[in-house]
Amino acid sequence: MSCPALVINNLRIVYPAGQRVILHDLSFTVPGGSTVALVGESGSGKTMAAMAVMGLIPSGIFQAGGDITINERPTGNLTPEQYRELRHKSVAMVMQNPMSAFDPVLSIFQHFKETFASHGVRDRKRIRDLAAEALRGVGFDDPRHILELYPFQMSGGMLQRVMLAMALIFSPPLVIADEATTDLDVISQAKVLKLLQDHCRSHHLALLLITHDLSVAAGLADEMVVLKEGRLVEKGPVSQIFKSPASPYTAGLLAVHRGLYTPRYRRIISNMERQSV
Amino acid sequence: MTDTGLTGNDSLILPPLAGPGRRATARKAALALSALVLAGLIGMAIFAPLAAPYDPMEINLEERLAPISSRHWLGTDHLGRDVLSRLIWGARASMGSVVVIAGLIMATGFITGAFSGYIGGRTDSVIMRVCEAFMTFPTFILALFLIGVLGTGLTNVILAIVLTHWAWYARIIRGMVMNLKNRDFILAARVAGGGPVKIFLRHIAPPVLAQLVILASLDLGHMMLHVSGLSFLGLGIQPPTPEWGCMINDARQQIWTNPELAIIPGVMIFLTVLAFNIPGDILRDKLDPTLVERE
Amino acid sequence: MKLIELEGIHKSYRQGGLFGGKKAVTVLKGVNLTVEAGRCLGLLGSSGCGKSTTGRLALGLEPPDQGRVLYKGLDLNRMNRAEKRLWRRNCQVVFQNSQGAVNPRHPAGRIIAEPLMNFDPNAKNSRAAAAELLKKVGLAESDLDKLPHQFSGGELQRVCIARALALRPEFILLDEAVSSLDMLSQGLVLDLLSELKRETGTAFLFISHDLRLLMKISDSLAVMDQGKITSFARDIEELETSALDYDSTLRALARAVLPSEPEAERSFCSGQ
Repeated sequence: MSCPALVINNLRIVYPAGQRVILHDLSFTVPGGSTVALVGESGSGKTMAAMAVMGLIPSGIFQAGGDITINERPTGNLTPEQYRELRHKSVAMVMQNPMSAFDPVLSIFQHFKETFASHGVRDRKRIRDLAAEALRGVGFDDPRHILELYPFQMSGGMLQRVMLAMALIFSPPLVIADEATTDLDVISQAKVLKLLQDHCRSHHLALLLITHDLSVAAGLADEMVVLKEGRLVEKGPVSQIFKSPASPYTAGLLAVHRGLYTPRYRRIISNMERQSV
Repeated sequence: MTDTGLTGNDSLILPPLAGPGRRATARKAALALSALVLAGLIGMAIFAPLAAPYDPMEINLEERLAPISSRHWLGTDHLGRDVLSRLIWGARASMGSVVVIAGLIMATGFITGAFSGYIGGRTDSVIMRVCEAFMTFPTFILALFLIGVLGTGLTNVILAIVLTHWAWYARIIRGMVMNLKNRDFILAARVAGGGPVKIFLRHIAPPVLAQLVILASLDLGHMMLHVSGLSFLGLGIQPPTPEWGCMINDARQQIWTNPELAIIPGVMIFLTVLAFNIPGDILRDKLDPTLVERE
Repeated sequence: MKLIELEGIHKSYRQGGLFGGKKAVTVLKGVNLTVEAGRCLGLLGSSGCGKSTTGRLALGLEPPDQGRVLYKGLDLNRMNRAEKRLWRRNCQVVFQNSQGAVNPRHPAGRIIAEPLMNFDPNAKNSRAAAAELLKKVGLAESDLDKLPHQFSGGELQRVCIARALALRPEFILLDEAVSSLDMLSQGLVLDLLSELKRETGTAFLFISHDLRLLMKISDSLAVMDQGKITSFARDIEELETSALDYDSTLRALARAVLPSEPEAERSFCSGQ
C-alpha cells in the first residue's frame, strides 16, 4: 500500500484578535490514492484546515498546535520557500471561486507557463503542447483557442475546469478540492467531479473533497470526516457513517440531505431509468 | 467569512499575543502626524489675524532681509515684511483656494458623472465625449490660455484648475454609478417599488460620495501644487497678497544671499501636500471594499 | 387564476467585445409560461439556458424584444399608473446571492422596511412591521439593527425573504434563492418557503438547476433549455406517470444529480 497522502495530527488554529479557536485539535488521515470528504457547514473550519495544509493561513491567524504531514514529509519547520516547493510537488488545490485564482491580465497560456516554470519546464512549445493536452483532458474541444483567452472571457464552469487542468497536470499525490463545485450547476458539477475522480483514480492520487454537500460525499468519497464549529464530530468510512452515524449532529445532516430525495423525486428517477432501458 | 490576502505565514507555534505589527504602528504615527500638521495649517488659515505677529503687507525697508531674531522669528523679506506673518496669512490663500477648487470639482464631477452614468445611452455618450475633450488639456496650458484671455488673478486660477480636472472625476463617478446600477440590490430596490430618484439617493449616492471624498482628498496636494505653481509663475495670486508660491517667486532675486526666503515657503508647500496625501492614502486603504472585515 | 403570463417572449442581448463589434445573442426564443395564483411553478434548467432572464422579464425589470408579459390579463406595457403600482406591490423577488441583493450599509430593519416606505411613506410603525417580518422568517427582533455582513448566508437570505414578504405580494420570484446556501440553511429556508406558501397563498416562480429542490416545493414544473421551454407539467404528479416521455434536458439534469447514498448502499443507480 502507498503511504498516506496527508496526516493531520491535533491541528489547532486560532484567531487571537477575535479570541477564537478556529480548529480544535483536529486529527485525520487521507490514505494514499483514496478520496476523503471533509464535511461541514460554513463556519466549521473546513476551509481553514485546507489553508493550513497548503501553508497559506491568512495573516492574523496562527497555527497554535499540532502537525501536518504531506506525503510523509512533515511541514512543521518549513520556511515559506520550502513550503512553496512542497506545494508545487505534492499538493494541488482547486477552489470555489475560480475567478479569484486567476490573474485578470494574464492569458490562460501565461498561467500555465507559471505553473510549468515552477516545475522547471520552460520551453514554450512544450508548455503549449502539454497544456493543450491537459485542457483536452478536462473536456475542452479546442484547447489551443482556450490558451489564448483571458479569464474574463470565460464562464465560471470553464474556469473551474481550467483550474482543474492546472492542478492535475503534474499529478500531485494529494489534490484538495475546496467547495470546488459549490457555485456550479448540477451538470457542470457532475462533469468536474467526474474528471477529478477519474484522474485521481487512474493516477492513484489522493483526493480531499471539502464540501457541505453530503451528496458529494455519497457520490465520490471512501471516507468522510464531519466537522462542527471547528471540532471533529466523527470520521470513518462513508457507507458506515451513512448507515449508522455515531453523532446526532451527523444524523441531523443526513436527515436534511435525505429529505431532498423526496419519494416523488425517487419515483420520477426510477421511471426515467426504466424508460431508458 | 472569506479569507483575504493569502500571504504566506510562518506556521510556527506562536503565542496568542502576536501584535498588530510594525506597519500598522508606523501608519498610525503617520496619520497622527499629518492630522496634527493639517490641524495646524487649518488653524493658521482661520486664525491668521490672531496668529500673525505683524501685518503681512507692512513694508519696512529699514528691516529688509533681517535674519532670524526674537522680533522676527523667521526673519524678513526683501521689503522688510515679516516672513512668519506672510507664511501664516499665506495659508489662507493656499488652503482656501484649494478647498474652493476641490469643492467645485467635486460638485461638477459628481453632478455630471452621476447623471451621465445613471441615464446611460446617448446622453451618456455625448457627455463622455465632452469630458474627453476637457481631459486633453494639460492644466498649465489651459491656465495660460484662460489667463491670457481673462487676465490674472485667483478666480481665473481656480477656474483653470477646475476646468482641467472636473472631467476626470466625472468619468470616475460615472464608472462607479454604472457599476452600481446593475447590481442585484439595485434591482431589488426597483422591485421593492423605488423610483429612479429614490434609488439614486438611497443606494447610489452615498457610496459614490464617500469614494469621491477620498479621491478628492488624494488630489488636494496636487491641486495645492497647481495653485502655488501658477502663482509662482505670476499668473495667479498677485503680489503683494501673501501666498507661498508667490513668496518663492519674490525670493528669486535673493536666492543666493538669502535662500531661506525661498526654502521656507517651499517647505510649507511640501508639508501641506504630504499632510493632505497621507490621510488620503490611509483612508483609501481602510475603505477599500475588497477588504472584508474578519469578526 | 392566471397571475403572470409570458406570451411568445423573445429576448436578445448585444454582447459587446472590447475590440469587436456587438454581436446579438438570443437568450429567449419564444417562451410561454404561466404562473397561477397560489401555486409554485418550478423552472428547471442548467446555467445559461435563460431562466434568470425569464425571471427578470416576468418581473418587468426588462422589456422583451417580442411578446407580452401579462399581470392578471393586463399587458405591462399598457398599464396606467395605478395599475402599475398595484402590480409592483404584488410582485416581489428573492435573488440568489443575498449579500449582493442588499445595500451593505443598511441594517436589516431598513432593508426590510424599504418596500413599505416606498408605498406608504407615512408608515410610522415600519420598524414594528419589520420586526414582525423578521420573526416570521425565524430571526429575532434584535437582528433589526445588524448589518448584512453580520449575518450568515442563510440568515441574510431570510432577511431578503422578509423583505419580499413586506408588501404581502401575490407573487414572489425566487431565482436560485437557496442555491448558494449550505445544506442546513438550504433545508431551513426551503421549509420556511413551503410554510409561507401554505399560510399566505403566495404564488412562486422557483428557478433552479437542482431537480430535487423543485420536486420538494413545486406544484407545476417547466423545463428550459437554450431559451425555450422544452416541457411543461401543470401538475407535477404528471411526471410520475411513466407514460410521459421525459425530455432530454430533464434527463440530463436528473442524471447529473449526485446520489443520496454511497455506492455500497445505493438501491438505484443514478449519476455515476
